[in-house]
Amino acid sequence: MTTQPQSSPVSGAGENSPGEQPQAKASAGGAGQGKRAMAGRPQASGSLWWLSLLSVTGFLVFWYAIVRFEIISQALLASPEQVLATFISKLTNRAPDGATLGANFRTSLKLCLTGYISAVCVGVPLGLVMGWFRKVDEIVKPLFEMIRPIPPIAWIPLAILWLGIGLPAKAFIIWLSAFVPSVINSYAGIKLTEPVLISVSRTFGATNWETFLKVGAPSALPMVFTGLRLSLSSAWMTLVAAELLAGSEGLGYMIQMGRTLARPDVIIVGMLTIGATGAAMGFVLEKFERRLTPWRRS
Amino acid sequence: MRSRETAVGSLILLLSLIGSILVAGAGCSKSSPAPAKEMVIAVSHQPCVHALPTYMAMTKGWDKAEGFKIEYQFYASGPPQNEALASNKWEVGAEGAVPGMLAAIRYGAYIIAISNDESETNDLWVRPNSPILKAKGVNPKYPDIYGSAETVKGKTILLTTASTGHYAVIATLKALGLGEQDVKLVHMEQSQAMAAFEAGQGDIVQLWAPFDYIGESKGWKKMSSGKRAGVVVPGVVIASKKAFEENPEKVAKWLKLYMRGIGEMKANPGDSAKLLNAYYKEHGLTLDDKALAQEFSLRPIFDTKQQLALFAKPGGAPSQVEKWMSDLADFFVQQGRITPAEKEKLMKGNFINDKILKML
Repeated sequence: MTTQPQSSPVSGAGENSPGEQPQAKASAGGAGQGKRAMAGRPQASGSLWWLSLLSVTGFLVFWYAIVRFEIISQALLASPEQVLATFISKLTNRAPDGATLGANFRTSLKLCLTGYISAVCVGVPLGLVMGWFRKVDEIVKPLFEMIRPIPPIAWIPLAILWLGIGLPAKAFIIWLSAFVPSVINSYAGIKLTEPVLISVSRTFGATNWETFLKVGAPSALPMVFTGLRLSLSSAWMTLVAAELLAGSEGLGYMIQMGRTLARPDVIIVGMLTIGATGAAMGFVLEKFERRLTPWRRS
Repeated sequence: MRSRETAVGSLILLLSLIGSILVAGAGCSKSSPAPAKEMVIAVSHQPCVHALPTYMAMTKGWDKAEGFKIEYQFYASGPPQNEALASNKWEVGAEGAVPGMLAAIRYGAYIIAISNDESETNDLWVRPNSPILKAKGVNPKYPDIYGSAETVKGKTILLTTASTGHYAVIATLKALGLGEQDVKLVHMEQSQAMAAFEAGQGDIVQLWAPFDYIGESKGWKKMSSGKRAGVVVPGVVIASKKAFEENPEKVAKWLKLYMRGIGEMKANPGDSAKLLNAYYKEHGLTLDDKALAQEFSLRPIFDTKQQLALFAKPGGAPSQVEKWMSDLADFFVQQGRITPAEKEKLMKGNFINDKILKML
């Protein structure tokens, strides 16, 4: 029995004709599309590095000026040099939240990776299988569609009841936020498998399972990676909410303490650390994607 | 050509960003809570008994009779209340001692009165079958504290850190001859701590009113409190720096109504409890009659004469309120939450001030 990729997708992704872009791809996969569009342009980034430098420098000067000239009160926004001083101090100093920046970072990284990796380990295979096998899609889709719109933070009371107040409960909150994009993009990716490739595979006698493994799944990789990047962003974005649940260290906890103690500098150090870590991990993921999907370079 | 377009595009983007932040900044720094015509005072409160005098004044129309209008603002807790203070959104209000202290240190706000003594309602709770309940008054100096060093050591305490509750927890541990390193402290917000404790997590939970009344109704047993551990946790009445320094008459006018409310609460606790019930219901809280009565029996309030005595500095010595706040600030310094210089600023900056009380 042969099962074609179905046209009853999660989030409307597959209710399009083969020529249409599914919704998930248009929104969630925006980064991937942009990349393809950029691939067609002359590569002028080498000569435009100064623009990035200009924007960052301009932003820092502007930030400094609005605080220095009290356009925004220092009570509301810490100055760049104050944030830098707090960053340096937090490398060795536990005050005011009770842990050094390194300890907070390690705690959050462990939490984020636990939630993220477990989410993509479940989400990617599930999305691929849902996109390829109609019966699985029909079974899982209604449940997934019900769970998908629920904000991860709404699960906190249940997470406490089910999983307690340790790492599993917090990782579960992150898992929920990272799970959805990985399912949707994997689903949409495999739905977009070229029918010609599927036909060729079958002509050569491949079973449906073999076609799924050797044609469908590899062809979905670009969208899968888009999902992985989106999941990673979601995981970091949910960190603060997850660390609200319970804890005594972590970047989210540090931000919360910064709020409690009215320390905008501590809040900004926490935010920038999360931002920089998320960006670095996104960069690594992109490099990994390039290695695994060399055909995308062209 | 394309480079130039990109450069122009980037500059436009940067300018747009600058413009947006300027607009937002102007909005934050220059917003004024008071409309021009009528004399309006922006008052901030939380879902707490210390909001009752203001609520009473509004309900009974005392503010209008005095020729001004209260613009009431509700905040779920101290941090957002202080953020609004930093944005100059309110002029007077009541909050806990910790946000009050931070409001003075960070935003130059003044502590102008004491809303109530919350020492007994910043408390620690255990389940009825807890071994901690087997011993009481092990340290004769603190006869009402349950537990001993042996039964409490190694236990997990769910608490809201950097709060007056945390202060009560550390004082309790100290009374039992223990330190923070002897137990496992897990930070949680109050409602989540309650849910987690109910689900079997932790051995001790720190609560404050009205959550502790809910805990009691579930059968949990009070193990200790700030009062039992010998520390005083005052609730404070705050005036923003701007209101205090530029319009003390207006602040005094409101404080007069607030003190009138306190007088009413002292004179008629039964009727006041009904009004408190209405206030809580408006904000989604339901307390039974026993809990409402405890709001009055467990939380002493002070009339103007008593307030003046608490703020008095006999022979230039620190006032009672200054001593309370100094002890709290010391705790925060020990915890590394504020610096010694910030404590110094609080104590020497005249932020604990009876000027308005004296105007009544």
